[in-house]
Amino acid sequence: MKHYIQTILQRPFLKAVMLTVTAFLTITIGNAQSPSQPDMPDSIRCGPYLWNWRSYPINGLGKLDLTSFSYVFVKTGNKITTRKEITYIGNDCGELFEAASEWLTISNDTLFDWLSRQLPTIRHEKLLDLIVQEVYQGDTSYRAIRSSHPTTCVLAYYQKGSVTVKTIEEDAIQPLFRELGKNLNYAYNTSTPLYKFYIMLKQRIEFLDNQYVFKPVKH
Amino acid sequence: MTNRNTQQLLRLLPIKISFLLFCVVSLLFVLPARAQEMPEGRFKTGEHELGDTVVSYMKKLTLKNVDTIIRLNLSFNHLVDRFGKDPIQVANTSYLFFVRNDSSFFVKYRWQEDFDGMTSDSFSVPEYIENDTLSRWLSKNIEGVNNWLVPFIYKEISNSLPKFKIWNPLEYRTYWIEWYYAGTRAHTYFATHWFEKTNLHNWANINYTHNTSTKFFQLFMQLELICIDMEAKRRRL
Repeated sequence: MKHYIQTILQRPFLKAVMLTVTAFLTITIGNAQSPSQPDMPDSIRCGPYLWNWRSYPINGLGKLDLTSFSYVFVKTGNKITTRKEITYIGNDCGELFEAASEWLTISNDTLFDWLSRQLPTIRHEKLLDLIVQEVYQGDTSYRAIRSSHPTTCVLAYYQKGSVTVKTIEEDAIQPLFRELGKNLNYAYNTSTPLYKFYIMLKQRIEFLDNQYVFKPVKH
Repeated sequence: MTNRNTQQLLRLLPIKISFLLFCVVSLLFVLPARAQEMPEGRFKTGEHELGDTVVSYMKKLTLKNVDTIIRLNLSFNHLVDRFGKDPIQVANTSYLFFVRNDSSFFVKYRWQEDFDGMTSDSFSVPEYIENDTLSRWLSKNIEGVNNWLVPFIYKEISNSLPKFKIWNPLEYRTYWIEWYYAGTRAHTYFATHWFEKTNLHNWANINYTHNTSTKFFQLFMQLELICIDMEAKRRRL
């Protein structure tokens, strides 16, 4: 055995093969041994909101050219911890960087309890398109409209290893669409638990947005 | 030790050189073979694009004093049987209608792909449209054919709240239509179920009145009738 090992170590090619095989086995076994994280706490990811290269002030980092940002809410015991994650463009305008804020704690929040109760309903819900009525010279028509740069928010709720993903088109929850008129699906869309979930998150985000603090990052 | 290593290296040198030569020679064989394979793929080199052929045909027509051209394009994959051969897949069909000296003509264009992945296209010879009412109708109405069509939308009441939903059947045909008239060009797309009053579930299309009152709808009905007539005539021949 010793002889074999010595032979392998003496020959660079065999040494390289051995190292590759060992690395491959380590990665494969390592992956196989980490199951789908059954103890992962319930969490919500809201975003990414795409922010097209606009300058935006970030606590602790100054003004940055953000490309996207999202918010994470994690249930830890009776508390909720939250942080903001951003992607921005470096000074040389070429590279993208990621940063996450410090965790904030919210106590006495019923968001996750409410969500787990409403989940069976929310799972099957879908908001309807923005539809407007148009009357022109006595002729009535109904058309589905999408703005040229629609804002879409992706909500992902991780619960007991499963994930529920919902998309909210902000066009669909506007009462009016510019000069074209009323959104006929506004009443229905805003009566759904999915919309309530979105509003609950939005209220928390608006309240906390100035409190997320980022540590300076060295590139 | 160093001497022994050098000796070992020298002993293995011919094997290494022959291995490198083998690699180079096999690359020389493989690369030209792959280069030859490329044009045999889905799209042959030098083959024209689908839109280009029809557009250049329409340009040629405008040079021949034709001032009204309508192109009705149907994107619908279907198989066409050929006697004694494998069927071919027709991916795109365009019907061209043009008016010259107060007479209307019809041309069919087809873009197809056979089972070997070879694509080809063809135009029919322009055919005179008998019992033609199209040219007269176009001369009076073409300027009014600019109404936008809207999809099949139905209304539902759920928990006393209205819901407006777009309906599309599982399978439907989408048409693309464009028309040139006196140097101007307009185009739109639509699906035939947009003109239906109700669907199989008995849901009423709230856009039915709007869609069927447009001049566009009148034009489409005429074009469809001409297409059916011409296709029937072709089969009789």
